[in-house]
Amino acid sequence: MSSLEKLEKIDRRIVYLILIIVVAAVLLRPIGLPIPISASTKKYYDAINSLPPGSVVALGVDFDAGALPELGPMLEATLKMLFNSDKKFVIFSLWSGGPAVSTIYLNKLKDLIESSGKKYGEDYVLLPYIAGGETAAAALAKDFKNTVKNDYYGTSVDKIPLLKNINTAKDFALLITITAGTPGVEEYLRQWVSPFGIKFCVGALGVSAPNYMPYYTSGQIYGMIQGSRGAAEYELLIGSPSTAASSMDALSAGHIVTIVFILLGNIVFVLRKYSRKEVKS
Amino acid sequence: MSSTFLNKELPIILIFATGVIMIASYFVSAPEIYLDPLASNLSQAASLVAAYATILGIVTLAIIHINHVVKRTKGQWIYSIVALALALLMIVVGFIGELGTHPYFIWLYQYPLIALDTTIYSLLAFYIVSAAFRAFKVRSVEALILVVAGIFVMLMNAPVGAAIWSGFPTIGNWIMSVPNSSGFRGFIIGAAIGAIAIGLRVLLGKEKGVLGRS
Repeated sequence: MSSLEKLEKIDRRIVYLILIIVVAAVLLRPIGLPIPISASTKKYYDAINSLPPGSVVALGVDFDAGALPELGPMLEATLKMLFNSDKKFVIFSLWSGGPAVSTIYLNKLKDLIESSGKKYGEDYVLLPYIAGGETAAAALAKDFKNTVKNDYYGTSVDKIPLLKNINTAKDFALLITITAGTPGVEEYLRQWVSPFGIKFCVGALGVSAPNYMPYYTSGQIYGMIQGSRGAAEYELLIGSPSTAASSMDALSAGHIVTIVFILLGNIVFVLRKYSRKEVKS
Repeated sequence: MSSTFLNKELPIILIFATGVIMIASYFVSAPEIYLDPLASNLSQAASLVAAYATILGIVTLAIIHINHVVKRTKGQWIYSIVALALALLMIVVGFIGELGTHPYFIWLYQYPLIALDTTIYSLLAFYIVSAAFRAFKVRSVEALILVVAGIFVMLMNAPVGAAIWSGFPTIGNWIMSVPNSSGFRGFIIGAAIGAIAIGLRVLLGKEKGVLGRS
């Protein structure tokens, strides 16, 4: 077996090992590369920032445990911004794991909530999982309080002051979904954005962001956080760099390893092709 | 009533009526005939059915795993015991206090479940690098375009791209906003037209698949 052949059939465990070593090395000794802010993240930030005081934001936490490393920092930063602002918000979820994820972050931000003076039920509220995917999104948009009878802790929605004037999607100033897929962006676009004309922002997985670009470029999605990179940008914008910002060097290292392997694979492929041609001639 | 009416005609009538109400309520507002409340009630009913479907899913999963345990399926039954035990644990703990809010339930979700789920998700990184090395080969002009576009978008996404050359984010953004957007828009429009066609066939009773095998 020639050396080129050996390189082409390299044991995948060696590839895995190289990736682990490079990413771990950068995590342990960060380089501190600058993180430029993209236009889509800036618009997400501006959408919340420009709302008049007292506006109510609908925050869809539409993901569960699997997507937490990528979407968790976006949710945390969004909650931080909302708690530090004069806006009110309603957290709900079309994903069964959403309320548990929200609870984890609300517990994590306990000190911030206390210092912000925000009161549960008056300034923010957590609703339970609403089953039914797009149908649930449609039901919520048309008749919010009849679709969700109680909040996550079992209190009737009629007894929650914040929800007193919330009847349809029109009563929200902004809709945000931090989503790992379906139900998510397209369901809200069809059932909330098109019929009610509500401003819409999205926090998406890096792998899903290209799917949502047509909606962003057309203006149906106003602002969008794209993957961990977007989350890091957003953390910097709100002045609270955290998990996402600290993982950016590791992300760069992982991408560089991938590109090096793609190039290496192609160099070996081309060299083997020429060596085979030479043998034939 | 004949079985044909109950099994075929009645479901088609119900589907047609529901579909017409939902479509009409999306495009027109008609308070005189209570169209919106009617559509809203139907949406809520569908949401309830979906909630019950979750229970059905749990029951089906339990039956499958109980069968594996009873039959001692080779290489499976031990995992089935683990799956059943852990599902039962989450359900029991979830019912303590207010549904799904007890600190024990949140702990189970936050530590074991999230760690396991994110580990599985993170394994993708290794498979992607290995697969990229083996399969991402420039065998044609189209493959070359794909590789070059992929590298630009990767370098746009990672801060290292802008540090190497400021053109990477600019070109990467252009790829995402123009060729990627137009390509996806084509898919979306095509899929939407297909969905309208299928929806019309279902409403008119020409698509019998929704009625089940009988």
